[in-house]
Amino acid sequence: MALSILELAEDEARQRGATAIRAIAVRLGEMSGVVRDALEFSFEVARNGTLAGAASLEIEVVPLATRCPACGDVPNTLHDLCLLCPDCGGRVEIAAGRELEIRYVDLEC
Amino acid sequence: MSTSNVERVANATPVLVRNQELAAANYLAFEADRVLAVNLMSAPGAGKTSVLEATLRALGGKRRAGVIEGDLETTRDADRILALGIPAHQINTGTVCHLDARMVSRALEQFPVGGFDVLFIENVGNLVCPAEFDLGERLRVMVFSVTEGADKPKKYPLMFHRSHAVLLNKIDLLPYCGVSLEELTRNVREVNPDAAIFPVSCRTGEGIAEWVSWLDAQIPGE
Ligand SMILES: Nc1nc2c(ncn2[C@@H]2O[C@H](COP(=O)(O)OP(=O)(O)O)[C@@H](O)[C@H]2O)c(=O)[nH]1
Ligand SMILES: [Mg+2]
Ligand SMILES: [Zn+2]
Repeated sequence: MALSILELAEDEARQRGATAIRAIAVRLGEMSGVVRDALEFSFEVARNGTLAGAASLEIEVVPLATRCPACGDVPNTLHDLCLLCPDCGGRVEIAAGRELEIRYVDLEC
Repeated sequence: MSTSNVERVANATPVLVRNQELAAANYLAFEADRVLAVNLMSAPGAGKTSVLEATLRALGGKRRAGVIEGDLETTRDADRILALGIPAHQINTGTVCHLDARMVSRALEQFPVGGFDVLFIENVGNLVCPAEFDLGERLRVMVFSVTEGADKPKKYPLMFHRSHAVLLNKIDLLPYCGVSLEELTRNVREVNPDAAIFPVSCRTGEGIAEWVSWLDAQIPGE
C-alpha cells in the first residue's frame, strides 16, 4: 500500500518536474483494511531512495459511519459491525470509513 | 540554505487506482471471453484448495474449468489441481501476501482462459490484504474454516463484507471445536447481509452440492 502511494506521488512529482516530495497526505478509512501504524511503518521503509526520501506522511483517519436509508444514522463500531438496522431490520449502508485516497502531495519545485 | 518553492497538488486519487484500472481491464477480458472469474480468498489453511477440488469434481464434465493458483513460493496447489486433469497456472508472489490485478493480467498472457466457462483464482492465504485488491473477478468467494472461531467475522469484517458468497468449511469438525454454527452465521450475516452462506465440509461432502448449484447458476449461458 505504501508502494502504491509512493508510486502515485512520484508520478505527480515527475510530471511537474519537482525535485522532491515534501509531504503526502492521505485519507484512511477505519474500514479500508489498512491499519495506520502498519502504513506508517511501511512508508518509512519504502520511501528510501525515492523522491519522497524525506517526506512526511500525513494520515487523516476517517471514522466508520453507517446509515439506514429509511431510519437514518446507525451507530456502529468497526469490530462490532452490524449492517442490519436495529429499528427496521433493513440493510445499513456504509456512508464513510472505506476511504483510501491521496488528498494532496507537497512538491518542492 | 536554498529556498525552494513548495507546490501543493491536491487530488482525491484512490491509492489503488492503478490496480482498479487493471482489474477493470481483466474484468472486460473475462466478460468478452464469457468466463466467470471467481476470486477465492481465505486465511491460510481454511480449505481453498480443498473446496476447489470438491467443486471441480462436482462440476465434472458439465463445465470447462481452469484454475490460477496464487501462492508465495510453492506449486503444491497447482499440482493438486493438475492431478484432477484440470488446466492450472501458478503465480508465485514471492513476498507479496496477496494477488493483484497486474499479476493476473500477466498470467492471462500465458494462460488463455477463453475456452473456460469458469476460472477460479485461488488467492494467497491471508485474511486481510486480498480483500482490498480486486483482480477483475465477477465473484469473490471466501472460505472460512469454522475452527477459526465464531468471532472472526467481527474481528476482520472487510473480507466477509466484500464477498458474494461465504463458505463455512470443515463443519465436520464442529463437534470438536465448540463453535456455534448459528452464532457464526449470524456474525457473517451482520457484516454482510447479502452474502450467500454455505456450511460445507470437504471431508464429508456435506453442503458441496448446494454451493456448486449456486455457483453453476452464475455461469453465463451460451
Ligand atoms: N476436517 C476437515 N479438514 C479439511 C476440510 N477442508 C480442508 N481440510 C484440511 O485443511 C487443510 C488445509 O486445506 P487446504 O485446502 O490446503 O487449504 P488452503 O490453504 O486454504 O488452500 C488440509 O489439511 C485439508 O485436508 C474439511 O472440510 N474438514
Ligand atoms: Mg491452497
Ligand atoms: Zn432502518
